[in-house]
Amino acid sequence: MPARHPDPDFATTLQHGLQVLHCFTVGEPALGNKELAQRTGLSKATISRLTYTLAARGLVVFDAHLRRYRLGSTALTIGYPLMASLRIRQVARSRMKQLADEVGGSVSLGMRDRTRMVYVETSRGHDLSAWRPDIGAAIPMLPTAMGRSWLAQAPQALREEVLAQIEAAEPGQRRLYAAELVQAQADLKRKGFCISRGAWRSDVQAVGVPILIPQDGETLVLNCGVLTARLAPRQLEQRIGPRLVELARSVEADL
Amino acid sequence: MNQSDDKDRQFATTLANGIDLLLCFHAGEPSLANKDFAERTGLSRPTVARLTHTLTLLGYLRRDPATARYRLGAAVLGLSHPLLASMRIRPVARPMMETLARDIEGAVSLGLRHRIHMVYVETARDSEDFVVTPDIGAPIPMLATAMGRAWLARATAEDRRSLLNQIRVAAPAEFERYAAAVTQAREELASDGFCSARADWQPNRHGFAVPLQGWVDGTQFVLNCAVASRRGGFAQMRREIGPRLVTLAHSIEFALGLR
Repeated sequence: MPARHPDPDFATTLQHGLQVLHCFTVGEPALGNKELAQRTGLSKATISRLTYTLAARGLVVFDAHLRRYRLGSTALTIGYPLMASLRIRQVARSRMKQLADEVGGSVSLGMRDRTRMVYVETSRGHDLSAWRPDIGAAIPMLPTAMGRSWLAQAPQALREEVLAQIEAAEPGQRRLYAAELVQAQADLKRKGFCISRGAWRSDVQAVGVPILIPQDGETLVLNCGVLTARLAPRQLEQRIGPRLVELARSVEADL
Repeated sequence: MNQSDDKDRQFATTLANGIDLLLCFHAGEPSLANKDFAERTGLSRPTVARLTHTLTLLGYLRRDPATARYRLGAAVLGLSHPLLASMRIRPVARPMMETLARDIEGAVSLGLRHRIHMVYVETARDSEDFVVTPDIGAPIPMLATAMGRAWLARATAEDRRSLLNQIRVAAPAEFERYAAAVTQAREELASDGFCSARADWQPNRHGFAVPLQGWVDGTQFVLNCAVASRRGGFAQMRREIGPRLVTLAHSIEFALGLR
C-alpha cells in the first residue's frame, strides 16, 4: 500500500482512480484487475472498487470476451469542452494541412500538460503508418522542438517552475538538455523558431513556434516534424522553420 | 449523475465525485467556479474545493488565480489517445474513407455510441474548409442524424427500446420530433443497406450511414457521410452516395476479417 499523501487536502482515491486510467496504453488497451493491481501497486480489492466506479461513469468498459477492461466512450468525450474552446484549431487546420503536404511531414498544435506537451490538432502530409501523431498524444518537453519552444518563450519564473517539475519527474533530464535549452532560447529570439534534431524520435527532426496570443489562457505551440531521411541539408532551418513562423503569424492575425 | 449504484459499497464515491466535476463542463462554457461545481453536483463547497485542488495538481483542471475559476487541463485529452490509437479499425478505414470523401465532395466519418449520443472517432474531409464536420469527441444527437439512426436500426430490440427510453427522458423534444424516423430507418436499412437523414440535423446537408457488420474492438461502429445539398436534390444524392457507402463498409469489413 503506498504511503498516505502528505497533503491533507489531497483526494487520494481520486488520484488512484485516474492512475488506473493511465495504465491503458496503445500497446495494452485491455487490462484485467490483476494486471491493474500489478501496475499501480494497489490491492486487488481497491482496484476492483475503482474499476467498478470508472465503469459506472463510462470511463472503462468490461470486455466480456477478453475478460478485461478497456477505456470507455467517456474517455473520448470528456476532453471535448476543452477542444471546443480552442477556436485556433479551426483557424489553423487548413493551413497546417497545406504545410504538412508541402514538406511531407506532420504539423501539430500542442498545449502544455504540466511537464509534457499534448497535441490538440495534427495534420499529416505523409502516409507512414509507424508515425501517426494523434490528438491527445503527449510528448516530453526537453527533447522536442514543441517543448523547447514552450520553455524558451515562458517567463523565467514559470520556466524554472516547470523545469523543476520535469527534474522531479525525470532526474538528470535538465542537465542532459541544458545546452539545447540555451540554444532554443537564442534561436527563438533570433529566428522565431526552435529546433530538435532527432532527440526524441531518432528518425525525425522538427521545428517549433509559439503562438503569441494566449488561447484559453495558455501559450500553444505549433510544430512541424519531418523524417530525417526526407530532409535536404539545411532545409529544416532555412525553409521549414521560416515557413512555420509565417504560418503562426498568419494564424494569429485571424484569431 | 447521482445514479442508484452510487450507494453501493463497492462504489468509490470520491473518485465518482471527481469525475463528475470534470463532466460539469460543456462546449461554450470553458470555465467554472467552485460554486458552479457545487450547484451542479449537489456536493458541499468543502468537498468540491478538495476535489478541484486534487484535479488541479493532477493536470485535469487549470486554475486561473485572478478569477479563481477552473478550466479543463490538457490531461483530460490524454485519456482519449490510447483509446483512439488502439482502435484497429481507424488506420484500416482511413485511406478508403479519404477516397470516398474526395469522390463525393463531402466528409466521411466513423463513429460509435456514447450514452444517448454518437461520437466520431475519425473523419476524412474532401476539403479542410468543410468546417461543419463535428470534432472527434463531440456529442452528436442520435435521432436527428443518419449515424444515430443507423445505430438504432442495427441494435437489438432490447437495446433500441432502452436507448429510445433514455432519449425520451433526456431529450423529449428530439424524441417527439424524430421518433418515427427510427421505424423508417429500420425499413431503409433492410431494403437498401443504409440509412439517411435529409437535412434534419443541419440545414442544406444530407447524411447517409451504414452500421458495420459485426463488432470491432468490442464496439459497434457506424460509417457515415455528410454532403452539402446540390443540384439534383436529395433523391439523386441518395441513389448515388448510399450504395457507395455500403460498398465502403463492405471493404472495411473485409479488410478487418469480418466477412
